[in-house]
Amino acid sequence: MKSPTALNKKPRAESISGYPGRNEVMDRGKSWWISFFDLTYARLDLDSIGSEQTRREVGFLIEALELSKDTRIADIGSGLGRHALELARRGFERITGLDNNRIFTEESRARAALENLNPRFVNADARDISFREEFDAAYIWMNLLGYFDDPEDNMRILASAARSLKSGGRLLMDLMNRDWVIGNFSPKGCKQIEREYVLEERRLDLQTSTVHSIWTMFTRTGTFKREMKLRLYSLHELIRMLQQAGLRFREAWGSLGMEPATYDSYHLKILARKEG
Amino acid sequence: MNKFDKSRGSRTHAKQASGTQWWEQFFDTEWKRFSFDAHTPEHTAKQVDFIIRKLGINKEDNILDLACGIGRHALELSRRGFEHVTGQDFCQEYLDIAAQQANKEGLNTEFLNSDMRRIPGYANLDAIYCWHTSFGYFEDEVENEKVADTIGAALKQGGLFLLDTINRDWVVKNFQSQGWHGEVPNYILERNHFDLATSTHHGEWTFIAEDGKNHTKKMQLRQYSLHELIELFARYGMRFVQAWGSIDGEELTIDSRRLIILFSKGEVSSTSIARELR
Repeated sequence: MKSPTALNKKPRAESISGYPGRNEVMDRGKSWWISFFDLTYARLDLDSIGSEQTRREVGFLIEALELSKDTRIADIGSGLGRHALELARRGFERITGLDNNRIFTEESRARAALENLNPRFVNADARDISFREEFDAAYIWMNLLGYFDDPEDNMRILASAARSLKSGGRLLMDLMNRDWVIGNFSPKGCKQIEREYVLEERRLDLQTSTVHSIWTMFTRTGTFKREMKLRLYSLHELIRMLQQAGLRFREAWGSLGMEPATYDSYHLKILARKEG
Repeated sequence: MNKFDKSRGSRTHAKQASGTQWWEQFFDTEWKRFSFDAHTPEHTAKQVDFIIRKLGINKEDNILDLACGIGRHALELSRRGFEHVTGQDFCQEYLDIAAQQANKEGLNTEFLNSDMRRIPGYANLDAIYCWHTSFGYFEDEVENEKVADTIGAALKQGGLFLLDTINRDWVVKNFQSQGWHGEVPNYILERNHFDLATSTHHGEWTFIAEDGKNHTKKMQLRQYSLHELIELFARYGMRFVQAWGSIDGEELTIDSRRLIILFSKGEVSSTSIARELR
């Protein structure tokens, strides 16, 4: 591991304790995710997803969104660019990764440069993407929709994604299935990544359909506690939200193998199309 | 005290919507035997205890039982001295049974035949309750929202609404595509399908009768989790007060079969409720 990207350097205290590059939009509300998504999180969560899994997810995206090499693609909430970079490796040329976390977009650019890949990574708030009628296809992978306290913010993500799509453009969302959580709720979870551990304590608030989690991370550089929240949605709620955003629901899958979604599906993968 | 405004109201039969809604066929004598008659007077009394306590109602309050069926709860309230109780239902057969019972016992319970999306002439009510899974009958969500709108419009400011329904979370967790219930000599066989895209339970219920004449009825119910009802009723000026998982007052969880939810129109005004909430 000789790569010079931030994540493979010895972690610095300041990159763990706070978020140094917040922009104006993020300052509007002091939300949990401002401090949650840092390099420690990135290492213990995003980077713990194996490349084989990423390749399977990207295979699914290509099929579900019918991507071809010249499709203009937006990765909304691109994180460390897992999918954007894999698409670029496969020769997809017109990829834009959007994330409001500068640490993540910088890391993504550094990783792209290492492999001489061409996706662009842009700092953008998913609720307020400035692109208009720009993309043929977009995807929102892993729960971004549920991160905001105010349900209006989650609606704004969809509206913003819809605006960024050309007429007839496709949107794919992947997010945790509320019905799976109801059927399988456990107040505790844990994860081991080599010699680091994450313990998770969860509480379900039925009034707001929100899981409140406290993560305790036992890392190379110390022990950290973080809080996060996830607003949960069932399929029928998401279909309604898509409609309100001017997107037409097309299909819901429960797995990368494109099985239909059921209440036992862990994640929902939902395809919608911009009307017009 | 506010009285029911009867001047504009119609107590005659409401015209049922043309076309065949499942609920127009479903509720008959047979269903009455299976469902309503299975409740003992003790069980009804316990439910009414809960309704009185949570709504904090007084003898002179104007109270509406929405989708009252054969008037189990409305009649029991009258028996206990509540003076202004009206039971609403669309099913005249059930209302006749209820009215006969009231007559027999010398009770002054009123009965109104209307569609639950329209209860003309009712305003300024102190309290409304809707018991035993009568919300979510309509295929089009807009129609279910009309029921919420009607409730909000019929209540006085600060009036309370108590809804008892099935908890979607329990259904999702315990879903059975087939089942049966009843006992000798009456059984119902159930075939169930849950449509995730609309959160609607579609049931096909085969009634096995004593005389061997079996037949099948269809029903469907839009099912809700707590947060959905809170959001839906909020759109009609109804404020969430509290939820329970049973009439024993247990906390609502994902394992509660029932979802009992109390709303107020604006701020809670009833002193007894205010006292309990403190």
